[in-house]
Amino acid sequence: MTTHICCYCGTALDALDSYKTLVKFNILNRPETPLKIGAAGQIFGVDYTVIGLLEHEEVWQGRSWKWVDHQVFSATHGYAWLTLEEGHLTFSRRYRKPVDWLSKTVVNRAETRPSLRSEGERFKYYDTSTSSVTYAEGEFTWAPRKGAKTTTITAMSDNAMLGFSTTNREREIYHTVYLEPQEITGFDLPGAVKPSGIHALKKMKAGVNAGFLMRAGLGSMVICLVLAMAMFVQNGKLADTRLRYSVAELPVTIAFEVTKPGRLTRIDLQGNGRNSWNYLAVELEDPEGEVLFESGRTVEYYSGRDKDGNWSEGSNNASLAFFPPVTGTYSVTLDLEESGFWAPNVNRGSSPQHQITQVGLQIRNGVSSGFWLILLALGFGCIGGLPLLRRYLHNKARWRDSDWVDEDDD
Amino acid sequence: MNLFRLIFVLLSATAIAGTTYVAYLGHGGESRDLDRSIRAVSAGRGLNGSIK
Repeated sequence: MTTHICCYCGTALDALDSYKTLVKFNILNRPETPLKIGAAGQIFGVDYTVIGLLEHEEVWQGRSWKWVDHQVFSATHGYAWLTLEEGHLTFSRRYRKPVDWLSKTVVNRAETRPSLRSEGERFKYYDTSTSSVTYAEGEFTWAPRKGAKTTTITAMSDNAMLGFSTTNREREIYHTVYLEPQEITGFDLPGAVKPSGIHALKKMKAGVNAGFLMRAGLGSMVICLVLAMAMFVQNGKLADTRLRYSVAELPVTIAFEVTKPGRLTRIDLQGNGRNSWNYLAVELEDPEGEVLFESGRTVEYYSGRDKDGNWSEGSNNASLAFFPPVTGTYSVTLDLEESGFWAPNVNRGSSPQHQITQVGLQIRNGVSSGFWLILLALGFGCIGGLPLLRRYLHNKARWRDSDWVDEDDD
Repeated sequence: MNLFRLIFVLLSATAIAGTTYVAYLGHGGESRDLDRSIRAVSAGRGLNGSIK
């Protein structure tokens, strides 16, 4: 301890030189803080006592931010800092492990967010700030000077922050971690102080089942998707009918056998028109000759070439699917009810057009559908994705005050 | 494995098995625009097929 700043008169005294006056702080500017000098407590199970407090101010673009660092001392662990910011407590100690120095020049020249490694942790650049001391009180291992500027470059990992501080005289690295309420006891801390917002160092409080829900949800989603794919390729049994009919034959009635009642049955239609639309009427009768439905499908296919290249639209394929109530011989009647060209007056050389001349027909009984499995997969995806989304949002909130801007984001 | 996880696994397995069964039958793949009024009446023939 080299400097003592009197809490009654604000005078900084040189403890190494007959308590000579160094500087005087105005005690009327004493910041409000629940941590008082002399308060003792435990941080990570180690006894510490508050021996000094230091108020900093950062001014940037006409706005100012103030915060109070509390110098704490432990007979076994030495000096450290306790910082209270919007109800969040952080704990900082000098960092003496091997790590590269992160300078302002490095940050200014970097094209991607600078990062460094130390003790197996990867720290990524967070921000650069220049602050000055506006108030000091208590005992310090150095002589605080009013207005003395400190430039600090911070880099953050998943668990901690490294601060590379430079003053006119020296430079040092501090390692800062977040203090959860159970990690700090004593210090006469008021229990009612509720932290606001998300501090950059705060770890996300995930529920005990969050990891399980994520794995189980995403795993179930994959199972559902695989099963859905299997259902989509399960096309049942093709009915024994003719597969192609000339338009000149229409209307035509085709009989087919249904062996699996209550199973989805699909009528697939295929046209061969070009730049034309064709409405195929479909009527289905059950084994007793009762009409099950009258419906139809339009097959339309358009294509051409323009300044952007070749294009195509629509499809010459269409289908109807229904549940046959009983086994037996059903009959489907097919007719070309209406048809037309897309644009009769366009240059046919560049865009050939013709109506359908043949209709393809396939009837399949016992078809499966992956529709509900896809919906279930979406549900499981939401369950599994929620913890991931929460983690993403928390991480985004942690980094929101970073001053690094990727050039792609400009 | 705690109770919540056990129930979650059981419910998920039931949901997957049940949905796979109805998917196998083809539910969800039927056309929605087919004339159901004809189907409903034709089954009972109560109106002597006079609709349409």
